[in-house]
Amino acid sequence: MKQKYNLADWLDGKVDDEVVQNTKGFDTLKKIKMYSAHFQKPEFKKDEVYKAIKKKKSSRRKTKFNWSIAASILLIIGVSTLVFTLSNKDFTSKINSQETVLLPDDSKVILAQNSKFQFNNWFWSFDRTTKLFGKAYFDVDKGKTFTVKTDLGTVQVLGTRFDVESRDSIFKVVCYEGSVKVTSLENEIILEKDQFVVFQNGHKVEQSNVYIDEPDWISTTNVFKDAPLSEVILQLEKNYTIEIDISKLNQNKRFTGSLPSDSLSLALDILVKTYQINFKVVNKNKFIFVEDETR
Amino acid sequence: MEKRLVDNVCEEQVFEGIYSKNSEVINNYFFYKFGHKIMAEESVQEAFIKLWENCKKVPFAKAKSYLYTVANNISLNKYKHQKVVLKYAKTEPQQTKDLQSPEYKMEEKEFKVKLEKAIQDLSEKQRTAFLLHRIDNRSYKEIAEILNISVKAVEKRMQKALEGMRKQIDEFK
Repeated sequence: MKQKYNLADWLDGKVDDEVVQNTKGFDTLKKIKMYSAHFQKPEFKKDEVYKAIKKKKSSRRKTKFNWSIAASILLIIGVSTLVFTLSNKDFTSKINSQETVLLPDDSKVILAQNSKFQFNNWFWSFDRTTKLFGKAYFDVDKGKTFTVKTDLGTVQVLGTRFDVESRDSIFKVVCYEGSVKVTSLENEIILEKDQFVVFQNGHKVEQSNVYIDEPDWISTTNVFKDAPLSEVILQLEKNYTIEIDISKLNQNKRFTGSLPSDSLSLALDILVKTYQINFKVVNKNKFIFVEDETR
Repeated sequence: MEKRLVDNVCEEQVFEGIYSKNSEVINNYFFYKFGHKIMAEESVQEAFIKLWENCKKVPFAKAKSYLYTVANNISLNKYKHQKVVLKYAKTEPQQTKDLQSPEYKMEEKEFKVKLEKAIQDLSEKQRTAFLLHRIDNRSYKEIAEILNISVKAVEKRMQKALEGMRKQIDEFK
């Protein structure tokens, strides 16, 4: 007859006092039963807690919502950055030679020795912004604002010819045609034709006139040292904006020497005499090189 | 009455209904467990926000047991509990006049203090079950549901709680 949890049943009112009155310390048990029912319910601010839940509820909803937006924005930024970086073109001139860069709109940039130049190919028609480290001469076609950014300042133009040098702490801009806007730190200067300005550490140190039509540092010769013929021809094509077909030549030829960049006939003559080759003129802008069989 | 087929927990009204029915007992459960009012309220919030976040996955009929499960999980990994401090109701049940002697009152007061101490010294499992029954008037079946254990186990806890308290009170006489 022994009930295992008789006290539990008694506490729950399932059995009467008589059933358990022989339990040890029954008086105390009775008191426990009585007084434990006298306790107050713990205080609970039901409405306030619900308000707090409501607040957190909506804020968590919002953050979840925001995540998806944030994710898509990140994706868009990521993709466009990728496209932007992929379509960035870099040019670096060697320490001992200049390089000519043709931009998509036929603007021409001549990089001085040991300079770096960057522009974006794909976005060119929207944004003519370029970056320059070192020195370069710009012959810009008319169009949207053309910007040259350097570490030391910015030059903005519409269409003109100018020269930018940004090396160490010196920032120098020379304007040969039209006008350009030069910004270095907080200084902003408009340069007219035949003027130049020099900044050092962001402070203007000189602004005066120039009396030449083109920068004197642009060399009239291209120097090659053991360069493959294809590279030499490429440089000629850029210099004179012509086309030269060398498919009929032995490609193994190498060239060491200098070629003028202001006289096409002289440059061609030098090549002809060096390699015992000949060229045919297709038209004013197109030439074909052939091996000279008469010799 | 036929119940609505789709009682969506995500619906504000349904959610609020679940809250008003169950929040207090869950709060008290946490309170008996931790002995800390603010911690109890925070845990109530946490449990209901968990329910809200999963409102699409939890059918209405399962909402209550889901809450209890969440509540039990919360209590597993949180807070060092404090002493449970309880208050006696101010309006005491009627007592016959001859029992109201000063001597009796003294004794009664003494006993109440002892009882409080005994409750504090109960194990967490026994205390939550005992107080849910005594203060919240929950049946053993309901307590079993809340604590996620069998009715037999609840009965065992009640039995042990009573025996333990009785022993402690009598020994300190």
